[in-house]
Amino acid sequence: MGKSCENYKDILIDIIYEEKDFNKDIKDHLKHCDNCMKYYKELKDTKNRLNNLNTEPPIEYRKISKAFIKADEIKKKKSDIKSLFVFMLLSVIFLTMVVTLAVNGFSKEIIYFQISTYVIFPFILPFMIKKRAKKEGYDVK
Amino acid sequence: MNEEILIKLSKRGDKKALEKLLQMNYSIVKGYLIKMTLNEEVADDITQETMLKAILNIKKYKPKAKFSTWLITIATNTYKDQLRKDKRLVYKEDKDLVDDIDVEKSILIKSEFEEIKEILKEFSYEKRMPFILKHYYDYSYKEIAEIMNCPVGTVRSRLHYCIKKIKKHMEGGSDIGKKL
Ligand SMILES: [Zn+2]
Repeated sequence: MGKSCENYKDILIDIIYEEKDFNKDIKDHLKHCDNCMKYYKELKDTKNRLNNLNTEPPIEYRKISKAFIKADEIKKKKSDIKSLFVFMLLSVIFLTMVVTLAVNGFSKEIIYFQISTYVIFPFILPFMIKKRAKKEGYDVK
Repeated sequence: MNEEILIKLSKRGDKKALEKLLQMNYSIVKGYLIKMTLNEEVADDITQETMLKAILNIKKYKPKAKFSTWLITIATNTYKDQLRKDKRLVYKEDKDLVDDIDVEKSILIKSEFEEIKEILKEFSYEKRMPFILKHYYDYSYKEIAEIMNCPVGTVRSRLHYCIKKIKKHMEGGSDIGKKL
């Protein structure tokens, strides 16, 4: 049994959109079936008329730039949240360590450590500032 | 500069290259969204959102799909999300167009452009999408299925549904014109 006209009409839609090839089967059917031939012509006509909606909008350069600015803001916010989280985590770990050591009778050592940190810190500060400046793009050199 | 090089540079974090790439594809995305949403203002918002998402996720883009296809996929998903959130975007649900031609309305429709817009408005976005991607962007059924994340058979049947309705409507519309 051959295909019905409805089948052929569906195939014709696929054909006008290049999803199927014009094979012998459909060609033969169109030769004998005026109804489907008419349908095919109308389909092509419909397809052409629909092209009227195909207008290309202009490129809006400033809107694209704005998207970049917004993306930077979002990225910054994300990295701020990440930094905050890391800071909190490290604080908790450090505090736990100090408390554990104190409870176990290492109070003296903790005080020595603190004093040495205060002495050393001013010396590492310039390096930290320089590193930060480099990261943010203020490094003049 | 060709697209392939721009993509490579963009993925490495070159902002200028990415900007150029987005400029090259801007009209495609916006044109698609205008046809999809049939509303200039909404299309504007979603285009902007799409650009933003592309900038934030450029590292995730895999160059096996065309860059414009990737953008259209983002635009499609963004539009779907917005539809869920914002009801002002939803037009009438699918109605049987042909039985429902409002004679007065069809007199008011002046240009063919407006007429086509009116027809497209009657389809739900799930049906409109395969039609627009096929007709105006010449994507294959398979590509559309990937963009929409649905089976190829669904894409085909939705496209057929739209074409048949549009065809009937155009013929029906001109009949009314003749009678008047
Ligand atoms: Zn036939």
